[in-house]
Amino acid sequence: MAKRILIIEDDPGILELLELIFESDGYIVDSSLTGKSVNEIMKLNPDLLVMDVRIEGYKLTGDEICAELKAFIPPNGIPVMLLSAERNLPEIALACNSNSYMRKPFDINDLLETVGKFWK
Amino acid sequence: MTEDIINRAALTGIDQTLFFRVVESTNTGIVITDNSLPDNPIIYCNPAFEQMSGYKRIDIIGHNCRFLQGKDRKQAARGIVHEAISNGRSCVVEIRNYTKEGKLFWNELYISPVTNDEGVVTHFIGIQNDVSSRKKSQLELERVQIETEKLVIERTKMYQESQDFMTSIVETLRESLLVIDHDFTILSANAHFLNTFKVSINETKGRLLYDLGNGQWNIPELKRMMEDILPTNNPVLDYEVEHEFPHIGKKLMLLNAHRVELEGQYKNWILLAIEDITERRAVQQRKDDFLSIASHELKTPLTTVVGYLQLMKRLMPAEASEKFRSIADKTERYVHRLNHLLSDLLDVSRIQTGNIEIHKEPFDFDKMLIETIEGIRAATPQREILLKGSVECQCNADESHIIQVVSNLLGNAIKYSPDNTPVTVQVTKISDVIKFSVTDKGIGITEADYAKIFDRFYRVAEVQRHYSGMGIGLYICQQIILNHGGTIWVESKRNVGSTFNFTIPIQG
Repeated sequence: MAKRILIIEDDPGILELLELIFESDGYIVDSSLTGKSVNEIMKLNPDLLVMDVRIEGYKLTGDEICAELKAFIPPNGIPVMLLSAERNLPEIALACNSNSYMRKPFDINDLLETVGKFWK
Repeated sequence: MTEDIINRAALTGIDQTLFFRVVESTNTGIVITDNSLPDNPIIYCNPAFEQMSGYKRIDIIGHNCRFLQGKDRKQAARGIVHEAISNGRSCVVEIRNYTKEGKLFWNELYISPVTNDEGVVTHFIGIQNDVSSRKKSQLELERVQIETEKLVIERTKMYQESQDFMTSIVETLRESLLVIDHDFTILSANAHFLNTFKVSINETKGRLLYDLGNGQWNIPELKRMMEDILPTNNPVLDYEVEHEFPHIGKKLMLLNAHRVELEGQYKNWILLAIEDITERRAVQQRKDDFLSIASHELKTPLTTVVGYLQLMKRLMPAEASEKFRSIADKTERYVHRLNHLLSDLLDVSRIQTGNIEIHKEPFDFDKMLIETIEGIRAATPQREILLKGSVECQCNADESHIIQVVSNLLGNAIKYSPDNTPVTVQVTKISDVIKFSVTDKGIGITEADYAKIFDRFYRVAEVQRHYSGMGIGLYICQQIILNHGGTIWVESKRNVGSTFNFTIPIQG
């Protein structure tokens, strides 16, 4: 059964690229150009959330959404991967309890390999 | 009269022949002229005069005395002589005469009239002394006096000029200057100071530095340093002060203060130079902001380009031509280079704004080194990279930053040396530091460039011609190592090679 990935990314070019990458590797992709609330995310219930840190025009940043999602009770078990050009991304990822992170610009092979690890 | 003379002569009991012998023997020149004859000619001169003038008696008898002045006619003394003779009076002059050979001699001339019984001047007698040496010293003295006076005038003028010159420099300088007395009262302030701080000279001169304005210079740290200047001669160098001024707003100033030294003597004065760096700092800030925003904005499209390129390669049909694949590879390589340059720019802008963040955590230095070298070997398989030594310890430092430095130095060593030469990496644990060195057999660096190559955007001219780049890699390395409390340096020999070294404390 194909895994479902939700992508939150405010740059249309990168969003489309991510869609293409994941679809070409056999994933089902949901995507959003703007931020989503924890409730919306939980309703979609993806197998993985890939999310930018800076989300233009949204009230929360990616890491803030992640922190809320991870703090939700009962736990929803949705894994998060932050995807950003922030230099201190490791610290941001650690602080918001995200499961993984990847720096932009990314290498496709690295990206698919990291994502693949979630269900091995 | 004549009788009188004869009587006087008889009284002395001396005959006239003796008188003649006396005149002939004296070493004072004597000339007698006959005033009754036209043009008052010489009728007698004694041997002393012959000696003095070089003329023989026979040469001059019958001549007026004026030939003695040669062509030197414009002498005041001649007028005096002329007047005395015309009026039958005596006179004393110093007159320039010339010998037969034309040599000047100063003649101290006593002219006296000789009268007959009727009181008529019949003759003149000239008593002559060569006073050239005396005159010479006298003239020399006068010359020296004149020279001295001239010199004094000149010196005074020069002093005045240099004073004016100094004043014009001080007034023209686009830097505020204050001269402060030992008790910190202001002795003078230049125009730039008055204009910058919108104060008048009356509000400044004679007042205490710390009382100026609303006490804005009353800064304890500055006070301490200023009070240290006179006892120790230690200057205040580049001390930054930020202050909100009532009329001119917030100013950032750079202060330099020195003890005044005049002609090698320390005075009990202090020269305080105040440079307004508000605008300069603001420009720097704007530039850094621009650099940061520009590089960040460029990263987004670059991420897309890199991704699409990789995706294109993944989706490339099996039947795609070799040429097509090669073009895709090349495009990818150049895009990666662009990405590296952008990362460097981002790093520089971060360093400039003081945002370089060092996150120290213990890591295995040897393992990090081996992995980094492996990564570089994979990218340049044709190059021989030798690793010597190990430190066998955990190092408390920012691993990703240290990897950046190692990759940069190793990358440079490979880039700037011939393909067939090896690159050697040496690591050693020395006391409580790790020393890393990488040696290449490249073109080397001149000693003049040793320090400069770590400057931002500095590129060695020769390197610039052969290799592209922005010259910020070594600057970033240096900033990272300095932020770790370490040192970085180069040793090199032209056409032999270079060794880049850094040390970092093991305990961080």
